[in-house]
Amino acid sequence: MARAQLAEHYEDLDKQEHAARFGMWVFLSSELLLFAALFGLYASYRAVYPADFGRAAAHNHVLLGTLNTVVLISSSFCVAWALHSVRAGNNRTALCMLAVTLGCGAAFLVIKGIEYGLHIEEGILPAGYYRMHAFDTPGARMFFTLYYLMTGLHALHVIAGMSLLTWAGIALLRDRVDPTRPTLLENAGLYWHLVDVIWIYLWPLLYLLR
Amino acid sequence: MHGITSRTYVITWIGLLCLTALSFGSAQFHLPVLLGEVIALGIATVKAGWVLLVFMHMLQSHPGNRLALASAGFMLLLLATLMFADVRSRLSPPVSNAAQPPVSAALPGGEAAGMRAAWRAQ
Repeated sequence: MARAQLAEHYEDLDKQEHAARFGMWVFLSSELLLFAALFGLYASYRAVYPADFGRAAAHNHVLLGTLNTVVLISSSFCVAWALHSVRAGNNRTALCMLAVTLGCGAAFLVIKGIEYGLHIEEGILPAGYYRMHAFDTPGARMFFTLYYLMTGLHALHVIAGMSLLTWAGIALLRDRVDPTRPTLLENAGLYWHLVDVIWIYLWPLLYLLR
Repeated sequence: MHGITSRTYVITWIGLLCLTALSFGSAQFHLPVLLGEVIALGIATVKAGWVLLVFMHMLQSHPGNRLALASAGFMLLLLATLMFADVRSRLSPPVSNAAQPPVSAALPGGEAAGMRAAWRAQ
């Protein structure tokens, strides 16, 4: 059974684990502020172009967006279950749950890629590359520029989250995660949940508010 | 360690999916814009809170961690509100669809110039 290693600059493992978790929460807080700027821009320009933003959101593929919401919420459940399993000493279940989570992450990216492909076919591209003449207004351009910025940045976070979970999974596979102190998996899971929470807000803003 | 049972995780997952269905369903009705926004963002906030409390173990977390998140939440609201107020004060009133000139008519100088021109044209 793996045991957590104490770094020399910590008095004990409890303090070391707390520092790791606190560091992760501070990092997550900074991530929230990164997205806050984009949410602020969205709110501002939605107030300036209410009709265009509603029409543009209606143009998005709501079924694909909803499917992605279901996929991401389910993946969040799987990560929570994986951590729960590790604490119960059931590493095999935890690995299965992590594998399902990575599958969900990949499915999310594929669905998002399909959606981007459909948009590009229609000429919906960000900023000056926008080419959909049937709906070419400053509001539509602003909506879809923000759409690409917000979903693109979120997709990068999905990829980062998948990488962190893969790292945690490999550590688990090599028996390097302590069942009583699974901080690596816990922190990777926290990051993944944040990715889920951000999408929980992006989905209504970009697909439902017509 | 966290005292959250398997049953709680499953209930949370099903609850989140039900709230997703509720949000999707409510968007199918032609509600007034403000009411639609309040419902959609209200449901999203309940879902995010549920994820924080159960999946992220916020209640069982160290007070220092909760303080970090609360500070970020406060700064997020401050940043978004000030940004919203700034853009609204410079670009209001809202540009209606009927009054908007085509993008090709926008002045050189980028999006802001185009918006100002659209506003003045009303």
